[in-house]
Amino acid sequence: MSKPVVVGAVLYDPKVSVIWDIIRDFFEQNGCPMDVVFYTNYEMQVEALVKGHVDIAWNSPLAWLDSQRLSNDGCRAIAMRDTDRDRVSHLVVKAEGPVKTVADLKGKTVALGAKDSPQATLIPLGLLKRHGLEPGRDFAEKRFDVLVGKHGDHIGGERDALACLEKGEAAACAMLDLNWQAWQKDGTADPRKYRVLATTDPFDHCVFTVKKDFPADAEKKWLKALFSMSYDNPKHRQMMDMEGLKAWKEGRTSGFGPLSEATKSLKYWDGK
Amino acid sequence: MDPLSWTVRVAASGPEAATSYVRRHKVETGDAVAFDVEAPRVSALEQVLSAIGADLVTGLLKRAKKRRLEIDSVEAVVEGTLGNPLVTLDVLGEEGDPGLRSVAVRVYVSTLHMPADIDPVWSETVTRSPLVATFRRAADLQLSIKVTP
Repeated sequence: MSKPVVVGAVLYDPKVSVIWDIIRDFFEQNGCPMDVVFYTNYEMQVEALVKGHVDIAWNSPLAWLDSQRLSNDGCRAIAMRDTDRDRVSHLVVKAEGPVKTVADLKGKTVALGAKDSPQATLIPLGLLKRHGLEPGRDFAEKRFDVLVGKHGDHIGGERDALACLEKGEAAACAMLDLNWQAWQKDGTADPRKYRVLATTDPFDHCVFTVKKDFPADAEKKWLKALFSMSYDNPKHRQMMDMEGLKAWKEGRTSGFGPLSEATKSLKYWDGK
Repeated sequence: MDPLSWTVRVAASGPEAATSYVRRHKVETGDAVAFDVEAPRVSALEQVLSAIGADLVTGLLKRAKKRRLEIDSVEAVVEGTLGNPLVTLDVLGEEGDPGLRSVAVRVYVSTLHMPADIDPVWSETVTRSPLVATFRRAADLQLSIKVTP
């Protein structure tokens, strides 16, 4: 048997381990043995990738930037879900509220997710900065630091931010488009009560990351197994539904611009 | 009196399965903890929760019978929470106690007798239950009873 490829993943909920069990079994059955190592946060996982303790890291977008930062641009993005591409975040306000434009947020409070959430904090803050609104100076941040270190994987922070808007303790809140869509459908966010004030530029989300020196043959074999998953195959569909995708795509780095810009303008990495 | 002991023999039948041989009985158990609702076997943790529930419902029924109190049905809902389930999944960086942090048992008794008639039976059942005595030392154990006609 060939040496297993070691894949790192951050676990925010024990139930997520079930998905990884299924994925690991799938790779085994497709002749590409794989070991999965779970980490409690992305910081540990990025360090493990850079030090070579794992071959492939299932990285958040912020973890991708961190991997590049700590490896001197020594990483490659090799695969992502179709649903990781071209996401946007919304600033949501009360439909009948006083905030009509982004400029109206001056002097108000904006509810955000965890401090390391690309979609619910960093990229929306970047959008506000581009509109000339400086956090702390022009508006107050009300942050919901749920499971810091997991980069907003857990939706709890975004849900708390929405609740904060609902209670009138904030004039706007930030959320990923997928959550906005889902919460309108399930009644969490009544579409008659809320509206989108502004939307960020499209950005990419999670990505399988390797170091540049990851052996090409191992990568080729692993990607072949990954890309052999087909939504048309009922045996694969359950696994893909659980992971929230219809197709695996090649990795790309063109979608990390808004987050990169936000981390720079917010001086996110200073002191790290 | 020499202390009595009970012995069961447990054999692994795969990474996620074990078979217990108990006197003339055979019991199948799955993983330590099931995180998948579709898991094919009852987990070891669920067996433990079942055991405390069984201890209380059978104990209550047996003591009610002794007092000639008629019980239509008795059922327990047992809920357990772990300290940190991520520890048992080998998540690097997670710390804490993977064990049971709390166990809440709610017993529902259907009977035409008044709750005041059932209360002493319940009290005796709890006091004399080997598993309640054990769990009180191990976790935050909360017991409650609801008597309805």
